[in-house]
Amino acid sequence: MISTSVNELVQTLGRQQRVVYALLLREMRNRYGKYYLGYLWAFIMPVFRVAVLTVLHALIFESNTIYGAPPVVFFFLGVWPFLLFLNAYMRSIGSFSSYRSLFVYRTVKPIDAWIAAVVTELAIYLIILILCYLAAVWWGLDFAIDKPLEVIAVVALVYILGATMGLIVETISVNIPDVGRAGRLARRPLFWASGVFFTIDMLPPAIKPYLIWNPVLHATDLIRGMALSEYTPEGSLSYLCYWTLGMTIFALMYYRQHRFDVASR
Amino acid sequence: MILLENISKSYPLEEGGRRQVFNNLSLVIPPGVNVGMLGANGAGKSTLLRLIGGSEVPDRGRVTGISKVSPPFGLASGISTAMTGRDNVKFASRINGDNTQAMSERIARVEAFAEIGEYFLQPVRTYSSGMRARLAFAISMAFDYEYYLMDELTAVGDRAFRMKAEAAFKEKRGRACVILASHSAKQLLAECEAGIYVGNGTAAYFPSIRDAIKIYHANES
Repeated sequence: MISTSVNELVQTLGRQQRVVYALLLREMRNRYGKYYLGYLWAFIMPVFRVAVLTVLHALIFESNTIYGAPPVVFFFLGVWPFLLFLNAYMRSIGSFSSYRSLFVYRTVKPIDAWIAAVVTELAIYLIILILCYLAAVWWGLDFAIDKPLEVIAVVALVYILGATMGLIVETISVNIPDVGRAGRLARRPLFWASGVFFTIDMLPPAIKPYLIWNPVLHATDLIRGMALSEYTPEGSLSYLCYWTLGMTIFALMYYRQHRFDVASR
Repeated sequence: MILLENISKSYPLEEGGRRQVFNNLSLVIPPGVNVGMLGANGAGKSTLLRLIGGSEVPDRGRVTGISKVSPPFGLASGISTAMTGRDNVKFASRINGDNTQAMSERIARVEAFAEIGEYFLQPVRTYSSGMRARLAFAISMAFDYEYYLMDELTAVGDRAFRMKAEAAFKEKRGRACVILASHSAKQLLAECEAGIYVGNGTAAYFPSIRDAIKIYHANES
């Protein structure tokens, strides 16, 4: 009895893995296949943002270090975790609708399309991160990371947070399309409020009590604390943990409750 | 043999509330017969095909006795318009668990059957509806099912395509059956022995397709 159900589980997982893999290959091609510069765009976007922030900083402020680090490094440490969150979130919104016509296959479920979208995005961003790091070293900006495991933990948490928040928005927008639109509008306020170009320590006392609720701000702050020797982060790893755990549980429960509506639309 | 027991199915409406498509529907489709499905637009033919094909789960009731049933292929289902014809075949092949060799055989079969020339390597969104039908039909025929579900697919093709579809059905006869949703009484008479009439929130099975067509015409006028 037990062995048959284990067998069934293994078969089901095998089937789902095939489906996710097939969707993943689709994602890879659909994402950047239509542009001449292809995957280079995924590299250009974060580099462009860091460059703009660095130039603005140089124009406005006199100093050429922030917490003892060159501004380029400081902004890179904010842009990169933020974009990781934002892309997981933005890619999840719309992940169902692009494969809707394939849900007629019994084995292809909307959540497979979401997994494929999220995994593809992560793979692309990890490659970019490595390229950026190599470029920085070649440039002569050698910065050592003291606590690599904690960096990985923060990166994973903030990524899952973005992906599951996107899953919630996408699931709701199946029945209420306006939610998908509204969800996409969040991108700009998030950019200003998530510590891309500031630390918690820099916040004026008037707005700090409000912005401190934003879990993404904690993530960028923690990353900076781990990489910049002169900055002690105020962000809390456990706060970020609670958010990610809560969002994950809620997103999966909400999707499960609405999974048939999603498949039929 | 396909058994539908006490099926209820509703969809959420955009303005709130739900639309009940089927209420407590029971239906037996005996083994070994080709079935034509008739009904007005919006009566629930596609929904019934999707329930039979397992693409959708009923709110209540169950679908059992299922042998190997294809997903319901139609102009807007089963193929992705963002992908090329060839990539659609690869996708179907991958989720079917084919190895590389089986996949290339599948691609060759579909390409030969669909006869859409260079369009095979173009995104499906650039296809005419006739070409889409050819591709969807060819993909479904490239896999072995016991039931092939077709949603208005053979109606849009030209004469050559219809002849080809007919020949393909004949070739599979004995090993597999088709359940065909169509508005063309002539085509259903040619392909099917039995019929299902869908209307008024329910569906009825008729051992003779002629009876199903009669009911359909009586309700239409």
